[in-house]
Amino acid sequence: MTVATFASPAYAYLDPGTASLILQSILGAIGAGFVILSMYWRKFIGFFKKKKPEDQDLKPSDPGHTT
Amino acid sequence: MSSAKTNFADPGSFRDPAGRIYRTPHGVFRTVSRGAWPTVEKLDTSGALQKLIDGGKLWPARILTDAETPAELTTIVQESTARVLEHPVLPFVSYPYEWPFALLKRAALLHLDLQLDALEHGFTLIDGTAYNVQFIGTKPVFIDTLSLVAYEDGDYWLGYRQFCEQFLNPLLLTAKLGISYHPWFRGNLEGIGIEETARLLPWHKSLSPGVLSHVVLHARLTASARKAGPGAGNGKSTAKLKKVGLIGLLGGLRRLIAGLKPAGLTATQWRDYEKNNSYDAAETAAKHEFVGAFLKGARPSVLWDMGCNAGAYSELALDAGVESVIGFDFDLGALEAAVSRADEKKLNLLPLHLDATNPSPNQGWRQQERTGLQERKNADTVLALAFLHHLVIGKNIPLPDAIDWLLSLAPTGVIEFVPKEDSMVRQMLAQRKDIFPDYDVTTFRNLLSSRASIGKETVVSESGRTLFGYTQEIHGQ
Repeated sequence: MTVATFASPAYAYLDPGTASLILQSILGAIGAGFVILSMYWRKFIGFFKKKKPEDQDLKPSDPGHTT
Repeated sequence: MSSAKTNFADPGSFRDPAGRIYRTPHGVFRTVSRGAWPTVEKLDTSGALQKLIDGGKLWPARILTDAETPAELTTIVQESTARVLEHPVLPFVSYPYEWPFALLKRAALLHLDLQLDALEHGFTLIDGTAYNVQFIGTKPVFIDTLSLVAYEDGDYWLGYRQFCEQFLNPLLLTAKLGISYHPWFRGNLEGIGIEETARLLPWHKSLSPGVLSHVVLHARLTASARKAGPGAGNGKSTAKLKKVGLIGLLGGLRRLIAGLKPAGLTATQWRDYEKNNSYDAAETAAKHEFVGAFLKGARPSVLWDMGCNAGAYSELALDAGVESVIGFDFDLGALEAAVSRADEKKLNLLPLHLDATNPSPNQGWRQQERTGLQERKNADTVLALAFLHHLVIGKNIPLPDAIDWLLSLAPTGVIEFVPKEDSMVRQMLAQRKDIFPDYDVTTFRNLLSSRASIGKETVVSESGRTLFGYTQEIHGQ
């Protein structure tokens, strides 16, 4: 097992537990993945909503207008 | 060590070198060490401190000027302290092993929400201990200002394991297995271990992503780390946890906890508890009137409702002008109901779990870290309605001793004597030998009147239930 140095705030008094830090790293990566995925998912759904009249005023930079 | 430190230092506040709590006649103060002061200063100048306090989640803290530092602390301040904070005095201190499920859950969500709010302002929490939360009625507040530290993208949450042990695992014990966490949490003080929780949960209760991550995988990794021992491995790398990852982790924990409900309780809604009384409407009215009149006369500020059940009389007390009520009961379902009543009717009621024959003791480091219930008493008046017979008949506590204990809790009170003729006591004695020859209202009256002055006495039921209102001339130690 690689010994990793985990970034920690300056004033820490608690033993965080190596395993708990490793788990955070894993879950954090998965969580970050989900957040990014859900961002793209929303953009993807937004693409289908552009057909409604009220969406005609979307800014040109909106990813829904990739044509 | 200066005498001021010995006299005023809170014996439960010592683990964090960033500062500690002192209780003096002038109030409650928290010293901030020179090392920790830059963080607190940044918290203050950035406006984050005030915003988090105004948001209602963080207990108020005021940074004192040197001139305002109380006299009792001047020696300590010279030694190692940069500044002193002042906190409003908490009305009552309670511990996580006394909280019913609904309140531990609420405390957990507060902890996560505060951390998410703090992250928006560039700060995070360095620990995850349930003892940093206290309750005002059923509203949780986070009391440890020094748990907030500046956040840098990449920082890990060092309190994650502690949060799992002190918040998540106890809640899971009740939600997934219908087991009370109270004896375990109280005995251990540090919560419920990750490996133990994983071992207790059967595979079919561990299938949600939340439980699989925070319990099962957590336990596997903890076991591996333990077996590998200290100093395993030889490579080095610097790992970072991106902010979006931390927020995802906190959000996931929040979703998991928000969805937990206590299992194995017969009822958790206060209306269900009202139905099963052995009283009829006229008897209930008589009881209400007696208690209401007593309270209007005694005018207590703080009341302890022993055997509060779903909080009906706690509510009555608050309606009669009592400022705050602490309700105690053994029945965890009744306590859930009391919490829901307090929420719905906006009552300043804090329902807590109590085994009257074994109240929370002084314990922890030097048996002083966590204070026993008797030492935290703050009541002007005690209500013991349909309570005494549980001790005397149910638990074989001698009647004089039970009365002495109730009288030791507050100067005034109302005790309901439930005689053997009543169906509740008859039921308790149905399968047992009646070893209570002196359990009758005359003996009770004699014992009480030799210890206190009985103001008023009224029979409130056909079966002979009698309410006694009393005051004590000299309140005991």
